Parts: sequence; structure tokens; C-alpha cells
Amino acid sequence: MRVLLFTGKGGVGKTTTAAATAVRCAASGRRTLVVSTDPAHSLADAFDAPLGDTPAMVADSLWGQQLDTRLRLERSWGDIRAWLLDVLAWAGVEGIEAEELAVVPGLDEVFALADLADHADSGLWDVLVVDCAPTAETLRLLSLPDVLGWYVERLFPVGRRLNKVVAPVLGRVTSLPVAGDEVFSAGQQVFDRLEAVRQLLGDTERSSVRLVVTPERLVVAEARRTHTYLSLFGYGVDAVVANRLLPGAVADPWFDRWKAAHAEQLAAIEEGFAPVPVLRSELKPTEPIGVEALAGFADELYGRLDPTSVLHRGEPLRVESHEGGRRLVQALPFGARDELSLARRDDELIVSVGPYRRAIVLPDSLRTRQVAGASLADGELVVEFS
Amino acid sequence: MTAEEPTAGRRDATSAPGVEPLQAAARQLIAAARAFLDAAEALVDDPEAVGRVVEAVSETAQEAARIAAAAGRRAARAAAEATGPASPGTPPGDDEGGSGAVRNIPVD
Repeated sequence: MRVLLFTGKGGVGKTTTAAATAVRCAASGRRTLVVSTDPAHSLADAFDAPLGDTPAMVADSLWGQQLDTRLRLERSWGDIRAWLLDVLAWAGVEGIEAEELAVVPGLDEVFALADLADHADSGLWDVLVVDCAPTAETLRLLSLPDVLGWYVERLFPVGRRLNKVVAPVLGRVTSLPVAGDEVFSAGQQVFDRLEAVRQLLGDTERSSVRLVVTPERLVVAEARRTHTYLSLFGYGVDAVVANRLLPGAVADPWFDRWKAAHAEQLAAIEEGFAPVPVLRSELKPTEPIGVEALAGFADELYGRLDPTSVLHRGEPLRVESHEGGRRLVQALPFGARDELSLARRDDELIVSVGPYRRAIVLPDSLRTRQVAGASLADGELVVEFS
Repeated sequence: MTAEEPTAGRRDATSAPGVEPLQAAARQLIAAARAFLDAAEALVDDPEAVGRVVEAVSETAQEAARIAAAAGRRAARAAAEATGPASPGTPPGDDEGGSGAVRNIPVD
């Protein structure tokens, strides 16, 4: 079972690349499901075939699905939402305002992500190809299992225990609706689903992220940051797709400066992301729409490569032993010292890069040791333990 | 190497070091007081419930004490930093914290 996630800046060709990869996987006989988690779905347009919220057959061994995040929100958040509506009604907020307040923004996307784990566990598929939302949303989404997990693991048990004891007393002194155990059960289920997703996507042998870029400065800059943040959360990037390269056959002098700019950016991509392989696809005369055109796109992109193989094996996080002690190495490609901060709290190492923060639970071999120093070099944060 | 709070560069004149954790501790204490009053009221009707509530209040108070202690350590450290950079001779072990304290680690 392989999970391939495609992300990148808006408009770079994520959907086309994901759909083409799925076509190629299915052509080799693997049961392939391509799923769009982008609320602005365009997967059906890429296949020129109708797709809905349940997997629909597109070709032999190939199925497509555009997740309806709203439905999943209703299913998973129903009990919690009902309690929130009671609380809001008690506070004098009712109607549409209460309905809107009872839904945490962005939560619908979380449940879309949780569906991936269900698909992976179903045994129905050999390959799961995911057409993700643009980078910012995807990063927020992929960081959520880690971030929410941190809070839930610490606050949830205490809150639930306290609630069980205090709720009967509160019921006598106030009319405030107190959360029942079904609310905590629903919360626990939400967390369990997120944890399943984290386990699946954090397993670099099962899951890989492929960054789609066009050879433009802003796009490449965003892809670099994305690579840093994905590594921080332990997701493995196994390839970069350089899309819409101007073909060498274009001889019109009007394109000369564009071609030079593309060549410069392509060189920067190759050099900057090495040893991660860069797959190339030239700009097509027409949009590659439909299974046949997508198969052609995939042939050019992958050549003889098997798209389901792990194209690059990196280790986002590892522990090394040496004579003086041990070191924890966190991959942070393109990471800059001025946006990095590091702290320790008991058995956790808290790494912050730009707007993202991850609490790494130290393994037993490091838990009792003291930090002797830390350095950032060659895209790796090295924390020495004495 | 100089130990720095991650937000040191963004701190404005109105936010004294350690205020936020102290506010959090205060909220915890208020929550504990409320729960205690609830327990007192419950005593009238159901003496058995009191034991369970007191246990819960105790847990909340302990959490508040822990937050307050952490805030105190942080404020002391911030005060020390305000007078000058950390001593270069500070042993590495000084970065470690116990009982929930967050210790910043300088990155070379």
C-alpha cells in the first residue's frame, strides 16, 4: 500500500500531476484510488468524468473521489456541535450565528484527511493518490494531527475526569449545559482518527509527498519553505515535479528571456533539492485532459520509473550514537537559523520553524540525558546529548 | 552562546516577563475556587459527592501551583537576562528543566 500526496502553490498543475500518476499506477494493474481533498475540486475536470463523494470508476483499476468535507464534518462533529449549540443557546446566541460558531474553521478539512486512513486500512487499494489543497492549507492540515495531538494527550484526560466529577454539582447550581460523556467520546474519536492519519502519513515507507513546482522564483521559494515544514513534521518528500517547462523546440525569440529564466530556476531546483530527484514535464500545446492525455503526461514525467516506488529515502528524524554521547538529527532542508528556535520541556524537544512548531517526544535513549549543544548546518538540526 | 527567550525581540513595553503564565495560574486558581464553592453547595444535598469534588479541586490547585512555580522561574530568568547575556560558563545541564519548565536551547 502506497500513499502519494501532491501539493504545491495554487495553479502549478497538482491535479494534473496527481491524476496522471494515478493513471500510470492503474495501468500497471494496481488498484488505484485518486482522492481530492482540495475543497475547490478539479479532479473530475482533469478526467473529464463525473466524480462524487464516493469512489467512482474512471478506468480499469482506477477510481476517483472528490471528498465532500461538509458531510464528514456532520458525521464526526455532530455530538460536539449539538452540545456547543446548547451552550450557545444558554448564552443567548441562537439561529444562524450559533450554527456558524459551532463549527471550528478548517475542521472540515481535518475530517477529509482522516478519510485517507480509512481508505488505507480498507485493504481495497494498492495505491492512494491524493490531490491536496494548495500548500498553505495542506501544511496547516498536515501539521494538525501533531499539534492537536499534543493538546489532546495532555488536556483531554484531565478535562474528562474533572468533568465527570464536577458536572453533577454544576448541574445543581447552574443551568449551563455541561458536556456529557458522549461529547468527550466524540472528541476522542476525532483524535484517534487524526492519530491514525499521522501514523500513516508519517511512515515514509508507505507515504511520500511530491512537490509540484513551475520554474518560477516565487513558486520555487514556496516549495523550499514547504520542504522545510514538511520535514519538521516528519513527512517524507521523495520527488519534486518541475512542471510546464518551456520545450526546447520553442524557437520564437519572444520566449528567449522566459527560457533563460526557466533554465535558471530549474538549475536552482536541481541544486537546492538534491538528492531529492526532480521529475520534469514540458508545457503541452493543450491541456492534458482525459485518461489518454494524462497517460502521455505520466509517461513523460516518470519515464521508466515506477511511480509507486519510494523515489528518495530521507530520514526526517534519527538518533545517532557516537563516542561522546548521542545526537538527535532533525532534517530541516532550507531551514534558516533566524527563524528557528529550540527548547526542552521534560522529555520533549520543542522545535519551532517560522510559524510551525513541533513537540518531539524524546526516545528512551535520550530522555534521561542532558542537552550539550545544538547546531544547524547543511539542512539538519543536530542536538547533542551528553 | 546566549540563551534567549524566543519572543524576546517582539516583546513590547507593556508586557512584563512572566505575566501570561501568572494570568494562567490566576485563572486556574479562580476555577479551583469556583469548583470549591460548588462543592460547598453540594454538601447540603449530597455529602458523598464532596469527596469526589474535593479530589478534583485538589488536582486543579496542584496544576495552578505548578504553573505559578514555572512562571516564577521564567520571570527570574527573564530578569537575569535583562541584566546581561547568560554567562558563557553556564554548564550545558542548565538548559534542562524538570517538572514542566521550558528551557531554551541556543542553536549555533
